[in-house]
Order: sequence, then C-alpha cells, then structure tokens
Amino acid sequence: MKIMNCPLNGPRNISEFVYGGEVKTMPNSLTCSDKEWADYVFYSDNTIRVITEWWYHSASGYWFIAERHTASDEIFKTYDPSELFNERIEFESKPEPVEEKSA
Amino acid sequence: MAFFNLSAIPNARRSMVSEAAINLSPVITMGDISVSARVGFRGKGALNFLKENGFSAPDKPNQAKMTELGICILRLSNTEFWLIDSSNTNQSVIESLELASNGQDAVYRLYCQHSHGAFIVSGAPIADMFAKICAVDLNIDSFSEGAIAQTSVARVNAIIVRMEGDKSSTFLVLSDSATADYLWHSLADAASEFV
Amino acid sequence: MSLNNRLAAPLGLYIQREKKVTFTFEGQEYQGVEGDTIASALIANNQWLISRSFKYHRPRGPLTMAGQDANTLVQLKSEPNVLADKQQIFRDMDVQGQNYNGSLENDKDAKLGLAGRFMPVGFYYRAFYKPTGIWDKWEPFIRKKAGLGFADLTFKPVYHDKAYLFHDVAVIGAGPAGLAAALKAADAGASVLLVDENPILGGALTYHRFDIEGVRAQALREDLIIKALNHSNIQILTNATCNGWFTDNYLPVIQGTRMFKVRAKQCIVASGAFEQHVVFRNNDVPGVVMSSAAMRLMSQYAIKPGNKAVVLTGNDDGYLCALELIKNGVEVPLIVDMRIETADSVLHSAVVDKGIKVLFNSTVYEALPSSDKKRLSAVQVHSITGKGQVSAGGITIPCDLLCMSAGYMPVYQLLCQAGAKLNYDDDSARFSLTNLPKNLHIAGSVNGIHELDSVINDGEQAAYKSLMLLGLSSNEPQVASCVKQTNFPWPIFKHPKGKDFVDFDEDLQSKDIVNATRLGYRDVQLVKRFSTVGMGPSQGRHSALPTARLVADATNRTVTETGVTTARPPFVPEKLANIAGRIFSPHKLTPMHQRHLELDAHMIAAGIWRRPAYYGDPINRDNLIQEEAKMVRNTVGIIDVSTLGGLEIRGPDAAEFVNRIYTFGFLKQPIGKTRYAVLTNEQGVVVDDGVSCRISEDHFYITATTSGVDAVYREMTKWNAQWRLSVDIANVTSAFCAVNVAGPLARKVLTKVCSDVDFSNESFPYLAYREGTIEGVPVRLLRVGFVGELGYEIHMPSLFGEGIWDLLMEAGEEFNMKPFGVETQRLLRLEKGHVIVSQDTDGMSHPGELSLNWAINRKKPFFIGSRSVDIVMARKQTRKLVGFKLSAESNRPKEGHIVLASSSQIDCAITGNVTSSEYSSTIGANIGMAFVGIDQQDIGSTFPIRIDNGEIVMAEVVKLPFYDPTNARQEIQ
Repeated sequence: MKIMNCPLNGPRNISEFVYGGEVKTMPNSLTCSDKEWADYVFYSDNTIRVITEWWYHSASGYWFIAERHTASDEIFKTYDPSELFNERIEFESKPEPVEEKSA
Repeated sequence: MAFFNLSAIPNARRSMVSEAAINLSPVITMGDISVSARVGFRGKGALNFLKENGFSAPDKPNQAKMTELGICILRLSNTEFWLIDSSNTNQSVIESLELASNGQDAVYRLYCQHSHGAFIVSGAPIADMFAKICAVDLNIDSFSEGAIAQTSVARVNAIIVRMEGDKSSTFLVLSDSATADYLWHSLADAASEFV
Repeated sequence: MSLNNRLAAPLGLYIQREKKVTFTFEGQEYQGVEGDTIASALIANNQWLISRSFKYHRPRGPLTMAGQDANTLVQLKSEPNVLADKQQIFRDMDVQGQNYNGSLENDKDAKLGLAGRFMPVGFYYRAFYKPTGIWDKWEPFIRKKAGLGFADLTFKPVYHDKAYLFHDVAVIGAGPAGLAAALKAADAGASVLLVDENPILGGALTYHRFDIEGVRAQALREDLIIKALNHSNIQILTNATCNGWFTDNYLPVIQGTRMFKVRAKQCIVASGAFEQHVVFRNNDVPGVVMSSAAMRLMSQYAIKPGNKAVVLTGNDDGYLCALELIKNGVEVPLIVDMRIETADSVLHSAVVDKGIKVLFNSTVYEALPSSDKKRLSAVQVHSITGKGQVSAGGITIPCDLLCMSAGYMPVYQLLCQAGAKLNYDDDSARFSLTNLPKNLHIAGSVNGIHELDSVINDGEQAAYKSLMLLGLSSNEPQVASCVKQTNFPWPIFKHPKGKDFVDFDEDLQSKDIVNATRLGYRDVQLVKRFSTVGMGPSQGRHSALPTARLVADATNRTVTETGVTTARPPFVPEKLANIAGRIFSPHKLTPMHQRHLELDAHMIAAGIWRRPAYYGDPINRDNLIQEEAKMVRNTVGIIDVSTLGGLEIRGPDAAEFVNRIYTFGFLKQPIGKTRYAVLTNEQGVVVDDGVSCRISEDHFYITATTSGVDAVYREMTKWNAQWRLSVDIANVTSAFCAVNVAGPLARKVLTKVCSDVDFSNESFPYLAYREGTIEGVPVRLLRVGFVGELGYEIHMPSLFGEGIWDLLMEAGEEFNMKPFGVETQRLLRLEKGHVIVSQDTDGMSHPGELSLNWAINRKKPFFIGSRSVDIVMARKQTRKLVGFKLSAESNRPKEGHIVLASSSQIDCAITGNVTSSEYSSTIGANIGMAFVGIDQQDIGSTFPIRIDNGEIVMAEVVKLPFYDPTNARQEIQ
C-alpha cells in the first residue's frame, strides 16, 4: 500500500486519506459562460504531468495539497493549503436586476 | 442564550462501553475513563488563552505533555488543544477553564467531553498489541514519550498518546463515543493473546 | 511399516527421528517422524505415487520436494489442494490423493490419457462451441471432472488475524545471500526482518552440495545461523511466505493463521531460483525429480531417494548431486550430460573416480514406468544431434530415480510485481532482473549469482545499498559477479508420441504449446490464456521458461522478445481466511442503545449505525409499524434520532459561511429560529439537507443526514481552506445525541421535565430554537414537524443521553408514550410528503425535480452549485418526484420498481422509479413517492409501475402531503 506524507501527521498509509480532486480556480460564476462553468465542474485535462491535488487526512480532519505525477504516481511534495490560499476570498454581489419595461 | 456548559453535572455522565470487564489479558490492562473530565479548544487564540490560564502547551503538533495537576495537554494541530483529566481529580479546573473560554476571541470550545470515549491501555507488549489493529509504528523508537498519533485503529479514527516517564508503556486512546463500545471490544480482542 | 530407507544422522535437518508420527494415507496407516512432510513420510515408506494429474489422471509423485510444484496436491479432511511436500504430518492426520475416480492406485479415468489426441490444446474453447446449446449438455459432465479436491461443508472457521511489523530492512529468503544481507544490515544498526518459507534457515545450504568434498555448506550454514539467531537486531520468521510486493515495500507475510503486513523501509529479495526440468517423454513418472529434490530428501529428511539413479544434467550441479547420491549409498551408473563437455575437469574426474560413467551430448529421451505405473523403472538415453534433436536408437538404463538439472529460473515473482523487468540472454541462457524500484534490492541466485562466495558478497552488497539509503554507515563490500553457466539453452526433446510435459499442472505437452502458436497465438500472454499453460497452482514456475523457449522458437524470435507471462500476487495460493483476517466491521451505537435492546427493539443497520426499526418481533412488522404510527398521530411517541449529523459553525463569519454553503439565505436568519438547509454540490445536485439553528449572531448549529454528515463536514472544511473565512467548523455528530418527542401530547411530556423553557405555542412556536436544562443537563430544543405532528427534538451532550431518555420515558408514562422506530418514522414523514435525501433523490436530482425551488435564494451572490442550479433549472425538465396512491388492496410497489411511459406498450421507455412506498393506515391506502416523466406529473392522472413478476399497477398522482395539508397538526395547542 502506498504511503503518503501528511504535512501534519507524517507518513501514513494512503487508506487514511480521502482524495479531494485537483486544485482548480473557480471562474466567476456570475459572469462566466456556461461552457467555462461546465469545464470547471466536469473536465480534467488528464495529461501526463505533475498535478496539484487536494487530500484529506481523515483521522485528523486535515486538508492539504499534494503534487503528484499522474503516470509514475510519485508524490513530490505535500504542504499546507495556506501556501496557496492566504487571503480571504470574496464573492461579488449579484447586479441588481434591471427593471423590465412594461409591455 | 446562557452558556451551554458541557462540563456540567459530571456525576450524570455515563460511558458508552457496555462490558467494561471484557479484557482477560493479564499483561495488558484496559481502563475506561470516558466519564472523567476533558475539554478542548481550537482557534488562533487558543494557545494564548491556555497560557493566560496557566497551561503551557507542547511546542509542536502531535505532542502531549502532563501538567503537575495530572492533566494531559494534547496539541493536535497548530491551533487545537485538548486537556484530559486522566486521573479524574480536576473536574473543577476543567470546568472553570471551559467557562473562561466563553466570549474569548478566536477561541472555540470543543466537544471532546461528549464526542469521544477515552481509554487507558497499558502493558509491556502494548506496541505489538496495537500493531494488530493500527498501521502506524507505535514502538517506542518511532513513537516516543509524549507522541501523538491521529490515525485509524481497528478501522475507526482514534487519537493515541504515549504517556511519559514511568507510564511510558501506557497509551491514552480517544475515539468517537459512538464507536467506543466497538473499539473497546476490538482492543480486548487484540490484547487477548498476551498472557 | 519400517523406516528402511532412512539415512543416518547428521542427515535429516528437518526431522526428529526418535519422535514417531502415525497417520493415514488412502485409508492405510503409515509411520513418519516429526518434521516429515506428507511426501517425505510416504517416500520413506517407498510410496512414491501420491496423487494424480488434473487432466489425464496420470500417476504423480514429488518433483521439487519444496512445495514449488502441484504434482502432489492432496486432500485433508477439511482442506483440499494441500502441498504434500510442504505440509508437515501430525498424529492421526487423514490424507487422500486427488484427481481420481475410484482409488489412487486404480483410477477408472486413468485411460483419459489415451484419449489425449481427442483433447487438443484449447479443447475447452473449441469443442463445446458449436452447435449452439451443446455446452448445456457437456457442462454437468465437465463440472464433475473439473476442479481440484472437495470442500468440507461442515468445516468450522478458525481464528485468523493480521498484524503489522515495522522494520528498516526486510530480507525475503534466508539462504546464504539473505543471511549475509541480514547480518550486514543488522551489524550496522538497522532493524531487520528475515523471512523464510522453510522450517529452518539456510536455503540451499540446507541441501545443496557446493564443493566436491561436500563440507562447505554445513559449516557456513551453522556459522551464519548462529550469528543470525543471536543478533538482537534481527527478527526471524520461518515457515512464513512473503506472498506479494505492494507499493512502498508493503509485504504480506503469511505465517500460519496470521498475515503480517510488513512495512519495510528497505527490502532485499533473496528468493533464490527454481530448478528447471527437462522436457522429454514421460518426464512426469514418479521417480523423475529435480536434482535439488533428491538432495533435499537426503539432507533435510535423511531419506535415501532410490537404489539406482541416473543424473540428467546441463550444468555442473548434476555432478555434485551424483556425488551426494553415491555418498549416501545410491548406485549411480550414469550421468547424462546434455552439454558437449563439462566446464570443470576436476569435478569430472571426481565422479569418474567414483565409477560413474559420463555420457556427453546426450539426453534422456523417454522415461519408462514400472508395469504398475507407480515408479520409474528405466530411462532411454539418446545422443543429441541438434537443437532438440536426438539420434535414432539409444540405450536403456534401468533405474528407479532420475535427477534432472537443466538450469535455474530466478524466483522473480515479487520483483516483477514491483515492476522489475526480466531479461534473458539467448546466447548464455542467463537471466537478469533490471528496473527495480527505489528501496528494493536483489541478491543471490535470483540475481544470477550462483558461486557461494559471490552469493555472500552479493548479499552484503544489497545490504550496503540499503544501509546507504537508510543513512547508516558500513563498509562497502566487493561487487559480486558470476561466470558460472548454469542453464542449458535447449533442454526440450519433443517425442512423436508426446507426453513430454511442459506444464505438469495442466498436463500440457510441447506440441500443445507449438500448436497454440500455429493457431495464431504468438504472444505468450495469449498462448497462456488459450492453452492454460502456467495457470495451474504452480503458476508457471517450471512451465514459463520452456513455454517462452517454444514460443520464441516457433515464431522465430528470441526469449527476450517473447518475454514471460505477468507475475501477480499471491506468490503461493493463500486462504481467504488469511486475507479476511479478523474482520473489523465498526458500527456506531447511540447512548440509548441498551435501552432499545431492553425494550425488544428490532435493530437494523442504518449506514454504520444500529437503529431500532420498530419495537417487537419482526414477525409482526406491519402491525407494529401501524400501531407505532397511530400512537404518534393520536397521543405521543419518542424516537432516538441521535444518528442525525450535527455541525457547529462559529465565528465572526459564521453567517457568511453558512450562506455560501447552503442554498437558502442565512445572513438574516433570526437568532432562536431554525431554517431548512439544502446543500447542492457543484454540479447542482441535491446532496444533503438539514436544519440550521441560529444560536447567536456568530453561532449556528446545523443538522445533516446520518449518512451525509462526514462528507458535508469534509466539504465545508475544504471550502474554507480556500475561502479563509474567520469561522470554526466542528463535526459534533457524536457529541450530541437527540430524541424527537412527537404527537399531540408532546408538549405535556416536555413541560414535565424541562421547567426553564416555556413550551406554549406563543413563546416556543413552530420552527423555533430554545435552550434549557433537564435535571441540570443543558439541552437544545428544536420545534420540528418532520413526522407531521407537534414535536420537539431534544439535543443533549451524549454522555447524558441514557439518563435523559429514562427521565423522558418516565414523564411520558402517564400519557402511554412509547418509543417508535425508524421504519415508523419513515412512514410518518412519507404521509407528510417529506423527502429523505439519498432515498428519494439520486445522483441527478436537482432542486427543481424535488420541488425545492422555495428553498433556494437566487438573490445571493453565491452558494455551492448556484451556477449549475441556474443552468439545470433553466432547462426543460424531464422528470419530477411526485406522491402517488394505490388502493389498500392493490399489490404494493417496492422501492426501486420502475415507472413506465405506457402501460400497454411492452417496449416503452422507463420514465422513473419508486423511491418510497408503504401502507398507511392513516390514509387507508398504499402511498409512496416516485420519479415520473414530466408529462406524468398531473395531479389525479395515473402512471404505470412495473412491480414484482412483471405485474403492472396503475398509481394515481396525489398532491403532497398525503396527511394534514394545512399543517394544523404541528400547530396544535
């Protein structure tokens, strides 16, 4: 069984972790096209390269980020998400609906 | 609303372990301390809050240390701390600490008094016994005094702490109270070969 | 029975000759000694026939004496397919041969061999294919003939378990290479695990003769073993098999009823080599053995393996075997050497000195069995005239033992499982293994090193590499090399009359392999699947190499080009009990669990939890549920809802966070009020729901579904790892237990136990949240209507749960309050039309299909899935979840039954399915919920459901809820 190094708990059996998908940037959900949104929600590149992924250590409830090669399955590094996400994310308000002209 | 005191009426606490006397191993002893007092705190202000109240926490996550009162302080992450009164003689200390946390900025009182069962498991072959139910190397060379492992034991999540000094062959085990009865039986089963 | 062919001590490393053990074989009593295997004990009694072959029922005896072949699979009372040359005997053991019809000695099916030409390769695939339906006629016959052994259905399971073992270095194989590696690693301070499948350490040192005088092996073995046994850094597991290699040196090692899950930082595989056989006619007659098997019989079991032996060899090891035979009183008239000449003239002189004749450039072309077919009686020797070709005519040499030494195949299985590549040099006939992953090393004969000094060197070299990676210092040993040629390149001599076996397990002859290539199967993987070569219990240990050679030859390629078939775990057959171990199947119990048992609850699994379905005997299920439902509708009942998920969101951004997670608006949720919370995922699918309680400005307590809460918590924490809002998220599912007291008299019960809360409708209205105490225990109170009556959920810290339950039961006694179970609750909420997420929804259900549009705030900037919900809700809907009704007399649909587009067309489309269905005595009808086609949703219309046995019932679409549409019941004063 594969071993993964958890930044908080050290090397553990991969069965202690839950996969959380690739780290992706969410497009602006108010302004992006349907296609851009579908791309974000449903599609992965699935190419041979090092990808950045979310992983969760169940026993400690800890999310972290791993950089893993999709072909060799080698994990190059794991680190706390604060290295990528260190600022509060805000969502802009929906624009006020434009009043429709009466027919 | 009034403070919802989780440390209230200690005498009314009931453990979820149904057959406390099931362990038959003469060399591994198991004690259920689920009803003794404990409290947890999390948040950016938690470390400082403990310090202000006279508790110095371990420097690193996944380390534990024993206070002079006999309260074991677990540091589970950079910002999460549990205090376990394993001797069950510090109810008032734990309760007043819980009350003191009320209204503190960035200090969130946790629910470990009720969310977790707590066991003391002790005996020379403790690491071999745990190797039957846990994938982490708990031999003293790899899991030294005061070390904490947050891992899976018999397929349920648990926190294992190696006690210090003359109790170095004693593990403190904390695990979901809903599976505490299951885990108790699994521990007893793992212990049974050590005679 | 006498032990007339036992040799004198010190031979017999495995046995304690003074301890006699009596057992039965084929109903007859035999005597062996402690340490004997079934095979050695039988051979000690001159019983060479031990089992029969799978396909042709040919008489078979031991081939390797090391558990590497499947020639001697036997049946024990409760265990089939036991390796007779591996399983030790014990007192009163009852052993039978396998694969015969009648008795082992007189097998009525032994003539199957004569019909061999009617069973060509790929027979199973070809013979029963046409005409259509012929397989049904053949199947019962083949089922009777196929399979190995029989299962004892009265068998009682034995306790098996697993345990981890943690070491710096694991050494697999305790031969000279493994021992040398283990000692060097341990000396440098590493903790070492040494694993060997045999009862004692030493590997080839326990049987092989390494020098003309025959003295080196024993001295070296004793020296290495004493050091290993006394080394405090070495843990030794004997009779233990490493059955696979998995990523990061995760090694399952089976020893008896325990499977060790070894975690080694470094792993050294010193697994040795399998001696290979020669392919010639009747090479399976009992008495034809590997040279190593003859030496094992002498050295390990002190058994004289025959009276007159011929050695057939392609290397120098055959000569050493001949010397060992002579030393132990076996007459050896002849060594048949397939080579042109020997590489070692000193060795040649040594055997000639003993009076042994050596024939070069010759082979055994046919073995001749005795008239009773139970034992070898002579061999037919021919000179070799070309690759696989022999001269006409030959000489017949009487003998009762033939020892074969064609060469060695590395025990590559674990290494190839780890991704190593097996290479073969067609000129030197040598193997090598390359492409090993990091932290995995190789030493000894598996590495192609055969000379003893080099083997020791190679073991130390592997240890040195491990130590470097561990960061431990040690002297660098010499790099080992080996020039000794051990493999004869073409030990295959096809005979026109066949029975020249490539694969003993499957009775495959050389022509079968060649014919498979002629039918177009050029790839060894395809040859394997078509011919079944290598698929038997010995998994190609002896058949892989001749198959590769034959396929290469037939297709004009090299063995390197054809390769060998893939090695997969397990290395040897393993019992399912070993894999299962002691089964850990966690379950969650609520604090009131003991009370439910005392009240005769029928407990069922609800996900990982155990919950009461209803209270009473399952035989009365339907009645009990209706009675419990009536109680709730008419008076008051109590249900344990501790399994509900619970989440706490606290901090300055708590409201903002909840607002981003759930579909409704939560920024303005008043303190002391609850609000329905629906969770959609990023695809816009409804994945969970619950009730949000606002305890204070910066504190929410939110329930979640029992099965969904862990995933909801995980998603929440993942989102906030990105959003960085100032909140704390806690999963408090187990910290709180809860009950729901429901029914028109619920308020009366609560008032009795909780004096600091005003339960009047005015101060504690529907959907309000309050806190209070019961006997000093702090409790959270939610006024809910899940079952459609006046009801209160009481959430309390878990360690108080049992005590509060007792208090409530006592308070409810005067109102005849009893507990009700989860099946009753499901009926009550169905009557009320409440959806259970994951029961009434599936992986496609968006809020519109569930009529949850009201629970979505479309003005807020964002919630998870907001954009997807916008997109799917704007599309034309295709299905809808509706309530339906059928008369009480109608057959009741079950959950999962399908909804059809039409009741008359047989091949019409499926438009949906039933999600909930139960009889309701309150409504007096069968009621349920189902997904139906969008054109089937009109109230009052009917739609067809196909129920059991293909019956079609017509259900009427009913407006939800079935019960109390004005919600008057939950507002009762």
